[in-house]
Amino acid sequence: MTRAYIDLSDEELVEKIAQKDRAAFDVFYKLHEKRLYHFIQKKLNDPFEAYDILHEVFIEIWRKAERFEGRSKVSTWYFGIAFNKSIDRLRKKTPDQFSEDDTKEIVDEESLSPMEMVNATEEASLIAKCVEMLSAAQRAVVQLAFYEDMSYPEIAKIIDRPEGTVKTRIFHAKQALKLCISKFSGDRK
Amino acid sequence: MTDNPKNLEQLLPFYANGTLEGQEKIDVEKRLEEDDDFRMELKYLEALHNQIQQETVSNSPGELGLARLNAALDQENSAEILQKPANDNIIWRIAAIAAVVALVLSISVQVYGPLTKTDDYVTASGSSAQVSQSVLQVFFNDATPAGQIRELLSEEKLTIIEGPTELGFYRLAPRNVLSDEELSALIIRLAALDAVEEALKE
Repeated sequence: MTRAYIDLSDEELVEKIAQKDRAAFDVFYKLHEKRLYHFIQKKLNDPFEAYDILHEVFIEIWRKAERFEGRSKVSTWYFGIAFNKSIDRLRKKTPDQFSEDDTKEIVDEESLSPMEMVNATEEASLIAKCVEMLSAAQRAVVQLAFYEDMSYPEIAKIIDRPEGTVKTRIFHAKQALKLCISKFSGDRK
Repeated sequence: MTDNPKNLEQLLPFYANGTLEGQEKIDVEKRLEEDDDFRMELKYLEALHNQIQQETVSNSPGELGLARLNAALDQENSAEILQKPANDNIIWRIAAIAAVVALVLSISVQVYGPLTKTDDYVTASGSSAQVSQSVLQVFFNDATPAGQIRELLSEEKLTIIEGPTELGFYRLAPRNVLSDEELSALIIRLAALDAVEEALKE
């Protein structure tokens, strides 16, 4: 039954989901579940919470598909839902500590030369460790820009912030990553 | 034109991920031609991009997550069905209410005597003025829920004396004695309702 849906675009699938078509919903889930889970998991750093949020995101996709008007990409819409649900969960967990506009101050200068920095960036485990150490807000934009390859206007829509905020946030994230890479790479020497 | 150096630095990550377009892209490329440090920064961002792209998603919920979703949607669906009873269910409810009303009426008739449109009443004050009990025939829309009919009867102080008949209408009587003007106004009010297809004086 779902074979007929495989070739449909995301927009067409969402139209069918809006008509409460469960087969279309199954196909949509199978197409996007992994990347959404990855995004949520990176933001929350907790696989169990990420599983719950993923469930909530797809329930909302099912309930609100009829309201999707096609003014943005389907991916912008569902990543927006995932982003907001993740933010809500983080706020519930740490209401006093979490700030969406949080940017970590960079107190040290990186000590690696530009070439050493490029070489150190080749270490996958180091990058993963440093991305985890970013603030949740920075991690989200890094993930959307470098994993999902999204443009800054798309990211701005997802996180519901001005485009300038996205550019500033990723700039700070990039600097924070440099500092982290430099620190841990130096520790290994 | 994006000639502010800081703006260009902020745009570089989006050049690295291939999403920069138009004049911004041209401006970044121009600076890349002129600035060694900027080119090195791009190399760092490209290395970062490559590493993050190679991240693998481990243990996403997959089929288990889909099964959980389907169970939740089934439950939601069942709840909706319970909230919105099927039409035949409504018909049975109306029939049941009508049967109860008919039973009550038949007992009343046995106790107080027959009630017809020609029955005459004497007011409690002892006045000799005689008023006649009016009966209306009302055709409700098929989709009208029993609850809505009950509300309407309560609002307009009407009682079912018979129905639904084979022809599909109810015979309703005002609980209070109404003048001709009041009765006409009642018929106009009833006929204007979406739930009512037709309202007539018998």
